Amino acid sequence: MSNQEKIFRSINLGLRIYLGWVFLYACYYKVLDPGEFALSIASYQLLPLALVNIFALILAWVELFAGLGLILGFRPRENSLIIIGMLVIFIIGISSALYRNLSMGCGCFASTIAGEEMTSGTLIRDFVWLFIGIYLFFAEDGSWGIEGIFQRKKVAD
Amino acid sequence: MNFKSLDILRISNLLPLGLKAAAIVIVAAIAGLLLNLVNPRAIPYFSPKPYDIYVSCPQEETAPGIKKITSRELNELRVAGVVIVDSRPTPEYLEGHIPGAISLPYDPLACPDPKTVEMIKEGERVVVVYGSTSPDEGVALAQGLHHQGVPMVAHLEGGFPAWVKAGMTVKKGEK
Repeated sequence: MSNQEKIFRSINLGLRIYLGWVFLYACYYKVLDPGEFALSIASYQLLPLALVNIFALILAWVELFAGLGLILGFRPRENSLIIIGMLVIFIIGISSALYRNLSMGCGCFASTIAGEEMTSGTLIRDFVWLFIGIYLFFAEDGSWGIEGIFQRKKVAD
Repeated sequence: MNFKSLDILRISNLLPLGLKAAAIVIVAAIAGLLLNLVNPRAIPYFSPKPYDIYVSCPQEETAPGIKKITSRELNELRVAGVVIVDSRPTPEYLEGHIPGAISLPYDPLACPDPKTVEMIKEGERVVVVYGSTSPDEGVALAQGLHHQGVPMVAHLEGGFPAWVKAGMTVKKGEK
């Protein structure tokens, strides 16, 4: 492996762990306290009431699986795709809330931080993560992760 | 980045990726829905009643800075006929208020009472809002009234304590 490739894979690993950690950190309070997360979702006034709780329960665990998968390098492209999908949903929700001047936190992280009102900075932050997710989708093949271990084992067999 | 990785956008590559991603989502969803049953802070799958959420008060325009006036200026304006609004909680109003003031307690979770706001607008007079000092809810109510279309709104600097300190008349009791 050339030095250039090592640097490239190191950058990918760093970004993968960073983005995975962001989503693991984000899902922590959502998994433990789904009621508070459901309230955050309801505050966006986008989903019908019947879907709010189910959406809260599912989204929290999807974040957990995708975040963990990225960190471990398990199905990195698939998990990047999931994260891209979630970020698109978040960006649509935040944009809608900002457009309607809804005074609220984004519900992205634990309640102490969510108490801060969302701003255009929240949107920019999500776009940065989206670009990282898109980059990882194209560039990361999981060779420095669980996926790489499976592939090398397959070749060895 | 190796440009070969753009081959990933071909349907033959994208479709299996999408299906595997969907499978991860389904497994995660099932885990989330099932583990909710053993979560001490479990929620019902379908909320039985609407959530109490913040709703923005209707706004007619963005308020410019609300003019501040002193107790002496307000005392002179009282003669000319202004609408005075007390934004403090009702018990404080009853203990003592500026004579002629309307009680309209400020609630950060709700818009000012629409009937009272309409009555104030119909008067077409200058409205002066006052509160206490820490925090001074009069500022927030003044901005709220202006947002709801009351054109001429001012705020008493220093609130009710400043009025009392200036030695002005105080009325006690009923609204």
